[in-house]
Amino acid sequence: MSQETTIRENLETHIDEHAHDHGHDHHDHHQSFISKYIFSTDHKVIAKQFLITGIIWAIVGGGLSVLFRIQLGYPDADLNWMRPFLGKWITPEGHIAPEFYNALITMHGTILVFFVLTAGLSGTFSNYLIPLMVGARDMASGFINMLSYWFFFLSSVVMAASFFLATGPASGGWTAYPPLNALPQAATGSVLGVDYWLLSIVLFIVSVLLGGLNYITTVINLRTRGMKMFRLPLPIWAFFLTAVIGLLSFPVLLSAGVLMLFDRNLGTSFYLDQIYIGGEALANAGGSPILYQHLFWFLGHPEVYIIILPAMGIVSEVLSVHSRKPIFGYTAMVYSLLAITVLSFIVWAHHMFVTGMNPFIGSIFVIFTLIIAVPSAVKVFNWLTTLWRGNIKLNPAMLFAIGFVSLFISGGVTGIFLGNSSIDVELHDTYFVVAHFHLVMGVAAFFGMFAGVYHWFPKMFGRHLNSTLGYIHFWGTIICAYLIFYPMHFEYMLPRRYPTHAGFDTFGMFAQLNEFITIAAIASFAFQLMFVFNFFYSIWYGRKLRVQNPYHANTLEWTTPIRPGHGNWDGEIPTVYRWAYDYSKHGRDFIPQTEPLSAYELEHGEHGDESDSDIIQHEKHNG
Amino acid sequence: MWLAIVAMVMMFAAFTSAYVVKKADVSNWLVFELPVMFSYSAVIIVISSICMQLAYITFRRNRIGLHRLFMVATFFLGATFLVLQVLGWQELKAEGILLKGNVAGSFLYVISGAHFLHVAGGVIALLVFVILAFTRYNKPEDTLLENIHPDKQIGVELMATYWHFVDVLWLYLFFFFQMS
Amino acid sequence: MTGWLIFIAVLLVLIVLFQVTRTLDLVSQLRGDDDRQLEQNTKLHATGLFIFMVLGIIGFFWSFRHYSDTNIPVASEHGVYIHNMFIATLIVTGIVFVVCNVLLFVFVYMYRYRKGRQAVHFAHSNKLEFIWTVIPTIVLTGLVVFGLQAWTKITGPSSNDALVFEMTGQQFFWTSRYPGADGKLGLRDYNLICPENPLGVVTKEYVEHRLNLLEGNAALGVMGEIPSLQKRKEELPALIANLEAEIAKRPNRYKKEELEAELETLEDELEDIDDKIKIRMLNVERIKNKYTEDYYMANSEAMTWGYDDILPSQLHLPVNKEALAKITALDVLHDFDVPHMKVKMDAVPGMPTSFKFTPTITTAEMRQTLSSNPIWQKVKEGDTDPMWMNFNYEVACAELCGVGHSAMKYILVVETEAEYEAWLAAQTPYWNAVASSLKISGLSELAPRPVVEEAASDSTAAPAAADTTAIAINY
Repeated sequence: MSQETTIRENLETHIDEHAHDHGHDHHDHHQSFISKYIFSTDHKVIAKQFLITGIIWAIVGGGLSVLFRIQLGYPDADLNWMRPFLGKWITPEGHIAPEFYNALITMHGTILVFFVLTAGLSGTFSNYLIPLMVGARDMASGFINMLSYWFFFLSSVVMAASFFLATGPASGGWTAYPPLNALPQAATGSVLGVDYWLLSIVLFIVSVLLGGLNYITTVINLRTRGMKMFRLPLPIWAFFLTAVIGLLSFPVLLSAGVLMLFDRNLGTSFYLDQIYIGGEALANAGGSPILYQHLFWFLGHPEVYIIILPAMGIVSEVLSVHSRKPIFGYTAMVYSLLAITVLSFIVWAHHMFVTGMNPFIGSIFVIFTLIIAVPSAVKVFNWLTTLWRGNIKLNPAMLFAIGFVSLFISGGVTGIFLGNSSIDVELHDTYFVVAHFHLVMGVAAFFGMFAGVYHWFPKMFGRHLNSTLGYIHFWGTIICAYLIFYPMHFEYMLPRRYPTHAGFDTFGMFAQLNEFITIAAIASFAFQLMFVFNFFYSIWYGRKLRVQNPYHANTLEWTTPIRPGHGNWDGEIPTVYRWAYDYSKHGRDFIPQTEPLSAYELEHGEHGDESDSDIIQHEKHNG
Repeated sequence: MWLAIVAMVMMFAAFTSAYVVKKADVSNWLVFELPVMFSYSAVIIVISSICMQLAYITFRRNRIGLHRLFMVATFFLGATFLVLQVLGWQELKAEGILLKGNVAGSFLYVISGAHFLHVAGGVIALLVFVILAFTRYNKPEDTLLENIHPDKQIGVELMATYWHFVDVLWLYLFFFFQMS
Repeated sequence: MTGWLIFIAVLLVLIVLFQVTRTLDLVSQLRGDDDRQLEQNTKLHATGLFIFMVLGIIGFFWSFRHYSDTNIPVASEHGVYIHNMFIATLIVTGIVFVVCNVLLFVFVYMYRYRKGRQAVHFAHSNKLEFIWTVIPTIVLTGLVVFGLQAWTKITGPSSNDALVFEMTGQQFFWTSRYPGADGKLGLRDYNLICPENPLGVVTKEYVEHRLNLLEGNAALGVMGEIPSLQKRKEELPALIANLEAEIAKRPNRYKKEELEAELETLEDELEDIDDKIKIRMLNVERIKNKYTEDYYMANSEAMTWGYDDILPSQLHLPVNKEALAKITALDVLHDFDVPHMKVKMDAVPGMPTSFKFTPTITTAEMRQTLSSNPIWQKVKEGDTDPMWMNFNYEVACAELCGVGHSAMKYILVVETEAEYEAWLAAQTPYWNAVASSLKISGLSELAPRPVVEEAASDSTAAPAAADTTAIAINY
């Protein structure tokens, strides 16, 4: 059964006619504002919707982190000036109320992990690049694609609404462990906030699944003539596998969430057992909080890869284009992505070494966890070799891609500590963990996202970003990122999620360091605001893009008109004859994918010695 | 569609593996008999699945009359299944197995409830197809083979796929609960 | 006002900066020579990255020196394994970290864009890729093997003569319990938890006391939670009606809002009160179902374990003796975290966990060590001694548990065997502390219970109680 027709049929049977055949009707530009920009089925518009919503959420999420960093860095400061907009969440002494502090960290995590780095990153670039890079007029189903965005939007609205609850938003951590999040008595945020949180996450899961279905179908079925799977640019591989991971792991979170909703509202006890709280011995018996953790992390760990794979894909492309070299070890890159995809499902319990889980099971997860470091290491070495003997053009996109590699190395190596269960006993739930995952999947994924935005902004909006601001943005961000998260490793005994550590003599010694980190965090946030300004300013007033292919890149998106309409290509969709990475081959700077192989030319991968012989030629050429 | 099914399979796999895990570590696990109604409903849904397949085959062979008959049959069998499920839950309730009670019972309700929702969605879709079967193809030329748009054929095929999926899913769940 | 001025000033500076950057972009366009421009930019930023790398590496090594004082001596036996693993991993990953980052930035600097130069078309090399798949695999295998060896030692079974104690987390404090003279911790049941029995230790008397508290006992003058809630439920409608009438009487808004708020709380209370009663009735039901005469018969020995349990206000452990912490939680997840001992284990309601460890440095020795550490020379506010003099091992909670998560501090004192014995001898069983102040049946001064089945229990429980007092005297 053909997937394309499958999805189209879904449209026809379940939905009225107007969504029909949109993807092929690119001559019709007389659309109203609403159908063009709001309820658009054009993948490019939907991508921009994801991106802009993601940016707005990033500002919110980042802003929340500034708030709690202020509390952490200056636990004694008088914050009464925040009262006008935080109201009762500021205590009479002028501190952030502990319950609100917990809500802040919870929302910061949820927003950044799900809304920014999942929807904003993979949502944006999968939508934007998949049809353009595989040579399709649009996604397999524009309508489902649109639904995907609007489910995300609804989910955002619900999450945003939870901020205005009298009892505050969810405050039990982004992992929402029961019983803290299952019992209204346990925390103010658990009264209603968690219901909103769960509802929002359920809507979000629907959005991810709809999006993922589309991405997979499009990559499998709508590739243009000649676009074999092993000619796909690496970002497409990454988006494709990301969607596969999402499709397999998010339903599990859905189950976990549904069971939690039952526990909260219908009196079941899936996650509850023998609880005495608030002077009452509850009737719940027979459940297990650990069950939730298993279900959650079965999603939660693949989620990390859902975040980082698209960034890896984008960075691979950007590094190759701007160093004017083919990505080194394309096949190895694809297989390492595949390996990560598979392994990501069997490492989840490394988040649970100290939950009292059977130690033997723990050791199995240690092995898998450290195995997953191998494909990651291979990717790093391949990126490094891609740079070797290139001709590296440092525009902001390339700088961010290089920054990504550096941060990925720095954050990745600390994963070796945490994956080893014995060391994890010491480090579990400390700032060492915070530093690790912020570097490797937080800031690094952001760098991938920035690389993508700077690289494809001209394609998206037909204008350039201001590159001077871009350079400042890069330097500000990478310096601040290291200043925030590198010293955090030294707080390896400091427990997370404490609004103040002053109660403990042992933890008190980090007060100065915390203050320093807070200053760096605020500075970093200011640099991001600068980027946001640059972004929106350049959409309307940026320097216009005048050439079709500004980077001399090989991939198909640069063969579309400067401002592509709905349907992407004016004439026929181009045919592909080669892989995407023929840079500096046979003395030519670049050879687009649409150029047929010349008479004596061999395609990449047809035999292994070609690249070596090319070096020899090069050596001769350079003397 | 197949991808969507994969997603649904993952969800039910999560539920059932949670059930297995829970069962392993809870000492006071409630052992219960499945309601008789659940076995009846299993039989019904198998029959309805056969009807659906026949409806699909007749549609492909352009026997619109028979197609209509089988579609209606499938629809009513599907609806019967839903009724039987509700009766089954009442039977459970009468036996004192409540949603709020032992985790084993809670799981039974949640899992069969999730399946119920899937079937209910299927029954609504069936209704749409029944209406389509009766409103389309009324003129003789409509029933000519070449006039049946491939997309429409795929619609019925998809419906059949989904229906077999919920059928197999129920059989799996039924035997899963039966075993444990 | 000054705030606004600063704001405007900052805004102006930002606008000026932005105009400068815009002009720079425009100028570069006017020059037209994009390639040249790019070459210059590339050189600038490649040099920048190189300097960044050099400073970074200096910072990397400097930081270890700078923060060396924040490291604390490892105070437990298994902590040393963890520490060694940590150091080994640090060396391996430190090399990878430095080498990879240096390669990255050096490559960027060396192969920066120059007009007219051509990059090498070097797409793959099976040999290279094989090498760097195999090397990480070997290194990681080594780490896994050593890591799992340590892990097995840490999580292995505890020795039979290990000192057993119990830590219970609840919002937002820890309660510790020692087994007392019989070496056995009393059974626990969360249904029996009440102010006098904070951990729900099971003894026949506690069962009765809990029932009294819930159902009331006229003979003892205990109202009981269920009857008082029922009474409250009957009163509430009248109170609400009164309040409504009062509100209706007030035409102006004088104090009206306060009354309305009060009304709302009363209405909420009425709404919840049925649930509250129900929860308690179920509680009673569970207690009565479980603690039958048969149960007492079958567990007659276990019923006495709880009498000599000790609930001290601090943890005390002898040095160099293995201790086994049994970790539980009453309400939500907590985590028993002793940073100096590198002990960390979740406390899960309904699922007891445990962690064995052997403290190797006494509190006094640790104070001595820290006396030369500059960080611990600080004198805290309102204190006269430097911090090291008052050093104590601290227990913290490492799993988010709500508002008071950061307040779950508990003191752990490690001392010599002799000191420990002396401390233990000074502790009285918790039972002694509550028994006299409680009207628990089973103590001789109590009047016979009106309920027949409970009256029978008096005779069996009384000697047990007397027994524990005797033991207490023996300490």
